[in-house]
Amino acid sequence: MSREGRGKVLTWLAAAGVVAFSLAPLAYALLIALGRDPDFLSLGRAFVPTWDHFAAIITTPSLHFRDYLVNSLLVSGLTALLCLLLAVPAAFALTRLELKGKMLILLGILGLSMFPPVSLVGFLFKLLAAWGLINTRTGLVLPYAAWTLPLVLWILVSYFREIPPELDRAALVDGCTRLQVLTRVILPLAGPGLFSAGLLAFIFAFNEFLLALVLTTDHQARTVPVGLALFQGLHGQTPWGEIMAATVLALAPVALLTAVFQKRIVHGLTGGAVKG
Amino acid sequence: MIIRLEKLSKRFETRSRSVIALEGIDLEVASGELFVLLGPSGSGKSTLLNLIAGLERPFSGRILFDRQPVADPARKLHLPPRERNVAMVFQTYALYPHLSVFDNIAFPLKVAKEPDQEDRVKAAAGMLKIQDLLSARPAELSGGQRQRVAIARAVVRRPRVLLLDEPLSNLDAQLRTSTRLELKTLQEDLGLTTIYVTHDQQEAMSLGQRVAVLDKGRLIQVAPPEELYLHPADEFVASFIGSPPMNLVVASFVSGNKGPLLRLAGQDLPWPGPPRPDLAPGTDFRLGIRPEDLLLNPAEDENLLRLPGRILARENLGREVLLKLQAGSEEFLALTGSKDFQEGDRLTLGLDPAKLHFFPLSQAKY
Repeated sequence: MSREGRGKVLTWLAAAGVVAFSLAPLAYALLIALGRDPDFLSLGRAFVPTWDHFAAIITTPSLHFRDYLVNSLLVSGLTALLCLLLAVPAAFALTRLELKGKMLILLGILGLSMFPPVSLVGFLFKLLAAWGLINTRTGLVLPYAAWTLPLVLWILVSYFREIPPELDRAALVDGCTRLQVLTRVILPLAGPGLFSAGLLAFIFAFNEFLLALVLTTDHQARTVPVGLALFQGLHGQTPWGEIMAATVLALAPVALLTAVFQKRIVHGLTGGAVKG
Repeated sequence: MIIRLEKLSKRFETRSRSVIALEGIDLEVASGELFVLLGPSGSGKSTLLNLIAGLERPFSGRILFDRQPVADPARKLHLPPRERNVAMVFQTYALYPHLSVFDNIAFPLKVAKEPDQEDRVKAAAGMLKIQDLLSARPAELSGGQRQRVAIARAVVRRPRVLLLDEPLSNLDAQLRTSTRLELKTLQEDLGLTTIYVTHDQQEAMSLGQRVAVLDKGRLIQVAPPEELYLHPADEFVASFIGSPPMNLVVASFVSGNKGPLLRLAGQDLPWPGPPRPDLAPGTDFRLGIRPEDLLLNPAEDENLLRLPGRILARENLGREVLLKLQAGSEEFLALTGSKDFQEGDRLTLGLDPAKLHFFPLSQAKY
């Protein structure tokens, strides 16, 4: 075999290894979700495919899976929206205005996001309890937005910086107010950046576990990750089939979004590094 | 419209100090005039344009459009660009990449919600011969086409003032010359008061009705092009205007037995011209003579200064020949139509006193 051919084979082998390693748990979850008997592997029983588990979690009201999913989608969507609403004017100011200590502000914001969530969760609980926001969706959106804001802001700043300031000047001379410069020139040009930043905020909020665990008490605000983790206590035995079916369903929106928009997500993370 | 600048100055605050970008600019641009701001990079010419547009705030002084102040920091007055009705063409064209050519040109009309947008865009596009490009995106256009779109966008709403910031410097040489002529015609047809910024003295000379020369934030001279060429106000203007540049050498007058002598290039030459009481004997000054005014092997004439020299190098420019000459301790450039001179030839340089320029010795050598 030629050197080149060997190299190709090795690359494929390595890639296959990485993919197998990453996807094995998912495959396992899928198998169990689709099998009638969750213990089929250990007891040497036959694998009997069934949709029962999927049907069960969707149709059984007492499992509240649908509530969790709606909560998750609402909380994640609102988080992304709120983040963008706050980050767009901030990024505009930080890239367009003559501000003293711009870099300090940006680094300070980045520094804030370095706190481990665990260190804040106790205080956050007391604060939200005082505001009566425990076990509400709002009570999740607010901390999530605060948490993802630095990331979204940094992505937007790197996008806005790529837009030449000469366009601002042209727009000002052409009769725009500062706000019109933002809405008519900068936002349309930074569209892909807005989208990927919002998507990242959405995915973050969708996957978050710790805060959701502490700040929610039941299906009125509980999100999918916490719902899944607490499935087990409901019945006498651990309903592995249902848990895995719910896991697969919960993964679907995020996996779908990532697959469809992977290019934009990568670009969002590296935006500003090279000229797009 | 008449634009008037009164004692205008601009400072930029950096972290450690304040930099003076413009100082004491007094200027009036007449209605319908094509006025050129000429200067090297860093002279403050683009800053001056931005001040007029309203993109920057002056530190002190006033800007008046038709006697109405539009910027006056003493009275805390600063009209934003959209209230001045100015249009600007940028060196990088600054077209909106997300909009088609049509929408780019229509942009100022849309923002101002003006009527007859389509007709006016088409008229402007027709004027610049870009009717066929209206549906294209800026990225699909060549540099010359982008430049035309930028000009169309600037003139479409009939601004009171047209500001051009080095609009031709991103074009290649051939296109630059032809666009220059078109721009001049367009400006005359529209009768727009126009301020044109450039660092290219040829562009300034060929375009400007009047040219203002800026250096280090100061206005050195404001005059029609011929005047700048024939009577430069100082050494900077003399060296900046004209190509090849004017010869500038140190000289002084000394007293001789038969009248004043000009001490030049290490030699004392009898001065045939009228006396110069303003230049005291023994005081150094800068003597300037343009390469084309330097006579080579002139006929006997007692009104000429004569200086023996030698040809160091010869460069054929096509129609003319550029010679580098050594005379005494100085080197000169001479421009001649004759092809007879060869490297190493010895010859006599003739200087006509009427063609000489005298400047006080400045610190800087340009």
